[in-house]
Amino acid sequence: MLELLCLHGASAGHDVRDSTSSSRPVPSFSQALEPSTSGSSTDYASSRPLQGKRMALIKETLGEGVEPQVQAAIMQAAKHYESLGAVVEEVSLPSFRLGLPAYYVLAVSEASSNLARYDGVRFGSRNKDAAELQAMYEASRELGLGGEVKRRIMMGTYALSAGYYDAYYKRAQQVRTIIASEMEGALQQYDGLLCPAAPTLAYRFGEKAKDPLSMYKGDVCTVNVNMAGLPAVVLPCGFADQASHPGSPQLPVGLQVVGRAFDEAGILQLAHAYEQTRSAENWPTLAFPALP
Amino acid sequence: MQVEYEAVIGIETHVQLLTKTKAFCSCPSKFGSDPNTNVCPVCLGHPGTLPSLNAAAVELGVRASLAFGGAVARTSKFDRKQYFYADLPKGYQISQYDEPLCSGGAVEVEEKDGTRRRYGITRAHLEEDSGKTVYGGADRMAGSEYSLVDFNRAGVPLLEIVSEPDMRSGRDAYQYGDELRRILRFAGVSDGNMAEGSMRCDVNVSVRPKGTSDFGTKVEIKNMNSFSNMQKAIDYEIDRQSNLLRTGRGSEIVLETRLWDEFKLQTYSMRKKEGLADYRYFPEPDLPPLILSDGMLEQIKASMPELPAARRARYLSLGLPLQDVLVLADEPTIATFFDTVLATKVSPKAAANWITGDIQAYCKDNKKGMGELAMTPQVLADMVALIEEGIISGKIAKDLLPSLLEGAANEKGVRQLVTERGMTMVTDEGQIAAMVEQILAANPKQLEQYRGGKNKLQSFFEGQVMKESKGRVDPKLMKAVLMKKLNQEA
Repeated sequence: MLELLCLHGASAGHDVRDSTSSSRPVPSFSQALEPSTSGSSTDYASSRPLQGKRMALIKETLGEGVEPQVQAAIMQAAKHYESLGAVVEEVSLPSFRLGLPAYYVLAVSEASSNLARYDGVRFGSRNKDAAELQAMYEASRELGLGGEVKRRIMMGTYALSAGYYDAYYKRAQQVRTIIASEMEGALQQYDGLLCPAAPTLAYRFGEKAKDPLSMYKGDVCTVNVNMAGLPAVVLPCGFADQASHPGSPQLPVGLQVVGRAFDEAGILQLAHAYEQTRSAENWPTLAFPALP
Repeated sequence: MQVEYEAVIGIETHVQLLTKTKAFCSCPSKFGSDPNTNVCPVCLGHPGTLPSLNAAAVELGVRASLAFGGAVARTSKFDRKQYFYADLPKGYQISQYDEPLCSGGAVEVEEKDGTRRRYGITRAHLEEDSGKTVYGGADRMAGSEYSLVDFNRAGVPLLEIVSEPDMRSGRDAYQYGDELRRILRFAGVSDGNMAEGSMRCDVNVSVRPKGTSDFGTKVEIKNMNSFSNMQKAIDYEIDRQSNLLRTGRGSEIVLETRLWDEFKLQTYSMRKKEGLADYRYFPEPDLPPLILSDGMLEQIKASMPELPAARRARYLSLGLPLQDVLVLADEPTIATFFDTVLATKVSPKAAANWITGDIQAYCKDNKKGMGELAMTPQVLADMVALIEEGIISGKIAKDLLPSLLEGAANEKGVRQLVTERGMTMVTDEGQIAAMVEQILAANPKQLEQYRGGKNKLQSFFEGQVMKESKGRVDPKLMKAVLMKKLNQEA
């Protein structure tokens, strides 16, 4: 968390070249390091450093569709937070699961627009055989853009088309507003909302290439943070078996802590306290297999 | 009975705003630089770059809106208008779609006979200009071998002003465009230079049987580099469409963009529009909504200069004839010059005469604007004052003016220059009488004829005395003395 904190401290604040960045003053993040990092883990825990903090598990991110061992790791993390003195409850955000489809409508719409510049005129690899401009665009984009990129451009272009805009883009923005207000409402009562970073463990490379929808579903827990404009941090909270690949090594589970808008310091403090007191076996070590 | 047709005309005007830098980056927005020298990663649409709005462009947009009486939106937003073209580097133009900066307004036109006409404005919004495509191997797209793109223009701030379909003829359109340009120039919003493309008009023309209220199929005309060409193009197009309707070929009027060929004096089809273009507008995610603070709006309101209509009214109230007023309030530089002269309390009529007469002629001959004159307004004021004081004659002033226009009196003042050149008026009666006698003596034949009853010769003698004195004699006094001498010794 210390590295994350340094990085965030350096990048936070207004950027004159980015009109969407906030111009509010950047607070000191050093409070996130309190209580102090000195002393043994046991001492730290026994001091109940999160006394007075209120947290809540998001109900809609648990249960159906969530791998049981992922859920178990999250519940254990919640217990750990209680042991640090925090109150951990459950909160229901009924609109939470609408976030995924809304997010994908908005994200692919923006992507279709942002990627228009890769048309072979100044960016993207130009097909030089085309006889005229339109043919050059088509051939260059066919040649230079990958499958998933093309899929998203197609979906985004469709969602923004005349006659579909209201049903897709506009509706998705309305959903976004609902999600944001629901999450903000919950964060008036809680200092942090807890949920898995993803409902399943990491899938294997290429495993879902033919099923993009199930791939997109993996984003259900994280997209709403972007939709609502809230800060969140993900930290490792344990390991789980790969259910579909018995006998394979366990993979890490991520815990997401979502905070109030501009309260990065608050969630970094919650994450820091967890990191300093977690049991060692829940923390992954970076071990790379030796090269043959 | 033959059906009479009437045209319905609406105009979309794009004006480049007079900002130092572009709309969303800090590149210079000036015209005429070497190709692709006023560019940066933002206006070239490099991946990862973001727009940041130029406050000066907003201010000029607001000024323009106030100038033509539009309602300025306290909150407006930017949208992306998406289409593929080589001179549009991002693949979309940042524009304003459903929440424009300004709604409503009007341009009121004053004719030479004093009648007024009002042309409504629907809306005005901010957007960025595209790059400029230059066709190689031909002067237009058709027949060209290649095209090059100059991105100096990409990202220059524009205000698009959309008129109501209130115009019925090429002349109406001319008047609307001409007055709109004047308003924008006086408001300091744009230089309105059509030849350089800082003001561009796209005209929609349709024709319908007179007395009906449905609109006919509209045709868009572009590429007119002056208002007189715009007038000709519209009148050509009205004729073309009316003739097609009259001869039962109405189906040949199709949704299309036509260009004006100023040499053949006709419009020709550039591209047919297959249905309505789908620009897939959506809110620009890289820019927050544009919110105008009370302070900013008040500040702009307070700094609004006097606009053409108000100037005309003020000049008329000075007792000046409309003909002169239209010239004086035509151009900010002329109006400013005139106002500076007025401030010295000389006679408005005299100052106006000099400006609309000799000085305008000089500007035309030398292809100079009033703003480029070497002569200061103070010099003209001094010259007019010297005439009013009777120190120089109008005739002398006319002779003196060319050197004043070149700046001859800027340093030393008109009074001293006149003295140095010995141009002050002769008002001494004795001196004038001597001159008159000399002239009478030199022209005995004419004198005899005059005294024989040929009264017309009076002006011959006046001319001779003037000539002899190099225009310096006080004309009234000289006339009196001359008459006395001519008649007395008869």
